[in-house]
Amino acid sequence: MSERTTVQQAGADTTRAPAGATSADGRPPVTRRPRARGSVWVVTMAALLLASVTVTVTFGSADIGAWDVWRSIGTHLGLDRLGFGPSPLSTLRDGIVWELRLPRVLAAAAVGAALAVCGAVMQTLTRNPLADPYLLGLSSGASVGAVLVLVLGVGQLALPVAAFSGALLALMVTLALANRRGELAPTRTVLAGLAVSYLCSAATSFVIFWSATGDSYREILSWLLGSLGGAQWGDVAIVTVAVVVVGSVLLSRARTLDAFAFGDGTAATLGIDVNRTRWALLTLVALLTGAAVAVSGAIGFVGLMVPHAVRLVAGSGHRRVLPLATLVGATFMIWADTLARTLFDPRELPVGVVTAFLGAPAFAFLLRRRKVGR
Amino acid sequence: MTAEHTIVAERDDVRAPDGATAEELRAAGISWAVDSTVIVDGVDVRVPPGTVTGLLGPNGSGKSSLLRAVAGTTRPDGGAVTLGQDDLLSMRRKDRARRVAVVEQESTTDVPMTVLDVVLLGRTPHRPAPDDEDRALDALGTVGMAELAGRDWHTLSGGERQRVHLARALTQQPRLLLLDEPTNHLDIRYQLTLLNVVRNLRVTTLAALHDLNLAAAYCDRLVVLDGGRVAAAGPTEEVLVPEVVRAVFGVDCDVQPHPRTGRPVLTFSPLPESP
Repeated sequence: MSERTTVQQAGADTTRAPAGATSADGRPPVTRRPRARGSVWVVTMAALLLASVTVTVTFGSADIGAWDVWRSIGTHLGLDRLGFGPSPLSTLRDGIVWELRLPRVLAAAAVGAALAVCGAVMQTLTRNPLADPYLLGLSSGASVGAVLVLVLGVGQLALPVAAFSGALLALMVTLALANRRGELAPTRTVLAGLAVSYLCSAATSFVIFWSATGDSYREILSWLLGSLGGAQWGDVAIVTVAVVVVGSVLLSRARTLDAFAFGDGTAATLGIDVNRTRWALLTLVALLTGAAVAVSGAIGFVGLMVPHAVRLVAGSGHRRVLPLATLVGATFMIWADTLARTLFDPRELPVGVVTAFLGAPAFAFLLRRRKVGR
Repeated sequence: MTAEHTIVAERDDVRAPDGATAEELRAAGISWAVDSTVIVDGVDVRVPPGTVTGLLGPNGSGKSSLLRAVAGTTRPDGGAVTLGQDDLLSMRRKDRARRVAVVEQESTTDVPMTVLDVVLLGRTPHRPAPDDEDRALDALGTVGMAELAGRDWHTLSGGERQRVHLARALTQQPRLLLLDEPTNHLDIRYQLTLLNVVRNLRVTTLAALHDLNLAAAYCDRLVVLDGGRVAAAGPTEEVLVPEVVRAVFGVDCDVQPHPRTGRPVLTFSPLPESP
């Protein structure tokens, strides 16, 4: 270790070395952003996520305590049989925790994580601070795919596949519309995304309305604005696996993603195959979006806001941004969904209404601050 | 001849990057056309090891296109580019990025980054190593920005940003440095600082420049492009003569020695109106 690695770990970025101080090799010592800060945030947010899961499962008409949540989890993980677990809950209360509330909370977490990761990667690859799966039409595209499969009754397994195909198709159309001489101007990209998004939303509504026999409005709403009502363990599994697998691949490409910060030209001179990388990683994003939308419908603004919030505290390095976005997105979505189901209990708000209430002001803020209209 | 010797002797003695011996750049017969419009037409460029060659020419003469072809970011329709013994065009992107670094004009980002984050991007083509940060800090020291490593990129002035980009390029440990009008829109002080740093690096450098006097002051050799072809090439004093300037830029000029450095200084005047 050289003496420069022992340079003072000052808390604030603005702290400078005292004037005139020099280290042994004649250069002034350098204060750097403490790299440890990233892991502190990860641990904090992981703890917050765990606490959020525990607390939000207790919210609802049946009286469930935080400890009951862990008793139920412990029982189902088989800890009580090993002799050191807590005593099991009554069948009814256990059913409420394990069959009703926990899958919904965990599905919300997985969907939030997926959307936040998608947003972060899309913002980087399109160099557009307003990019996210919802605004660029991926979510609506995935909805069309999912709804078509449901109408045709092909089967539960085809649902994520169809959603993925819809998302990928929407992505391709958006980027083809936005592309002008190899450049993706931010304004053009958002406008192209809106066009695709509206078209796909209309298609989704049309398919449901045309196929449904009874009250189709509730179902249309849940696809267009998102809903986690009725989430099952199978849904949790689909999105969680997608987040872990796709998230790991994206995380392994963190340095490549970082290299896009100064645009395609600079990325290319840093040795990146810009077009191949962009399409490969955006296809992964479409896959993850498809998995999320197949479970929850199209939920907006999570993918837009969470990455920006994370970058404000952790900087732009994707090795820190991606894990943090996963945790923050999950926590945010858990609370958004909890609000959606408890605010007008027993009636339920589409969760996209909650995220839009929180997200639209953030969107406006970004629009003003970042001068994206160039 | 003697002039070039004096120039070399004037340089501050700054270490050569990683003690690697400098290599010669040879680009031969570079051609590039877009939709049957010829942008670069059979251009030859030679940059002797460890020297700075300026690439001059009016707007649209093909400077940037030639640089992109040499950098490998656009594949030329014809021609060969070698650096030392290596064929740059057939090389894998990553291998090329370990040898060639590029500084463009005014390239910026939307995301919050510290100066050190930006410089560390230069390690992208290399394997991650424990001394990456030390290299980045070294490069920042070389461009005189060591104290600003922790600063937010967005708070820097234009001149500071270009020096950070240069530090990022140096962190790539390049054997060839390509600069595309790196001093555009900079205050005069930063124009001089930046080019002075580049001169002292002793890395083989090809720099597209807009300002003829900056080129005269800092380049060992010059290549003048006009309409995608080489109009003149050679040592700075031999290229920057009134005949060449008149033919390529359409202005008259007088060349005098700089009162302090003896380098050529050009003063321009319009051509007499033709009747």
